[in-house]
Amino acid sequence: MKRLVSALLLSALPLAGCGHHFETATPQGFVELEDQEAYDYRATTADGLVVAVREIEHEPKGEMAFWTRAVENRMRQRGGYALLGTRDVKTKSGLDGKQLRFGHDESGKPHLYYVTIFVTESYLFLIEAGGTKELMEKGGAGLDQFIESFRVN
Amino acid sequence: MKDLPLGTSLWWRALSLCLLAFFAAGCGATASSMPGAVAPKTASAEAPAEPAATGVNFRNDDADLYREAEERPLPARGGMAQATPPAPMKKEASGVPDAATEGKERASVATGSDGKSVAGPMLIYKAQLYMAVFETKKAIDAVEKLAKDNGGYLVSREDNRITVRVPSGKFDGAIDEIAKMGDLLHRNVNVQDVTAEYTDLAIRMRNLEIMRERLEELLKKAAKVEEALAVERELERVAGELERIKGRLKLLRELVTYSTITVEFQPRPVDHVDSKVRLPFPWLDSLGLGELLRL
Repeated sequence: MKRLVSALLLSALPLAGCGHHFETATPQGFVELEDQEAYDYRATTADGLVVAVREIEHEPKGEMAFWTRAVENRMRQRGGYALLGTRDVKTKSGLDGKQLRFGHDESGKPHLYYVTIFVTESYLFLIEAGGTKELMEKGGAGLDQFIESFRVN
Repeated sequence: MKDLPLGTSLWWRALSLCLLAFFAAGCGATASSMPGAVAPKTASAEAPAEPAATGVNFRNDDADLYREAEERPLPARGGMAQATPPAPMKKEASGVPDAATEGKERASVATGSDGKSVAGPMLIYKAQLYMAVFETKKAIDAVEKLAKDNGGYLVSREDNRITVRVPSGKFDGAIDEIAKMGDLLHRNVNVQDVTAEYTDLAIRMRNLEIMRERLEELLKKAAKVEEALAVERELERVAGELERIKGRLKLLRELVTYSTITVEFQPRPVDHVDSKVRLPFPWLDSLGLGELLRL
């Protein structure tokens, strides 16, 4: 009986990503924002370093290379973002992904914008992180942990 | 009616012949300004044209003169011989660089002020680079420094755009260096061949200088006020035309000696359709810092 109650309580806990097909833990120093329309999850620090997750139905189907190139073209050619680098990432649960790192001036100040892409059979997951260059460089370790802890259900 | 005195009659005939010679020389040399003439070419993809038929009705002997390479002096003053207009200066064949090399050979700017033909093609190089909008100020500072370090100079500078000029021999190297300063989104290089225009202007200038000398001599010999005034009016006109041509020659030399590079920090303009494929996935449109940081 006690075990059943514990299981019910645990399942009621507001885990990040509840109702979606992913799970992630809000990083230290961040606060999760509620009622997000464009995002399935979004959290911010008090200084304005923001991390977000989008869950997109994988239709039409495409390979990682296609979606990576699509995002790169969108940000560079149409947005004027500078592609600073590309790296492979892997979550603790073994999911492989690709991270694109961009730079862009906002109101004359250099900002960094990272897009991490995971591709599964049914969904695309985009993890976005952005903020001033200074904040992003300081919060690098925390962002890496956030990505590593990302899980797909 | 009494006949005019012999000296005055000769003087007027000489003046008339000089003016006729000037107009004929001017018309023959100004190929580029007449209908159907050759305009300055772009992209250096074509060989330079032969001196174009100008459509001016030369006398038959004049037409031959303009095609010869030797300059002939005007006859001695006071002679009744038919004055022949000065032939164009000797024109050497000018080669054109292979367009595929995209301007690897730079024009050696011969001093056109003496009317001599230029040693090589006169090419004006311009480049437009579109860079990603990141650390713009730092990049603009670097571009300005690069130009100055290479013997060039700043033309204009704004928040997200800078135009510099560098010696034409440093053009390619400067572009390569600027491309390393950030994420180069697009590069556009334009080459304009102004050899024909430059040569044409140099010939006209030389002819005008000869005309000016002759008019100055006539002015000294003018016996009457009316004659002097007529010559002075013509001198003034010739001087004005000379200044305009010299100004244009100077500008062309400047443009050939220094190449122009404009760097813009913005996405490529929308009219370049081939670079902006828009995939039918609405979520792509909402990516970016603008949406992410709007809390």
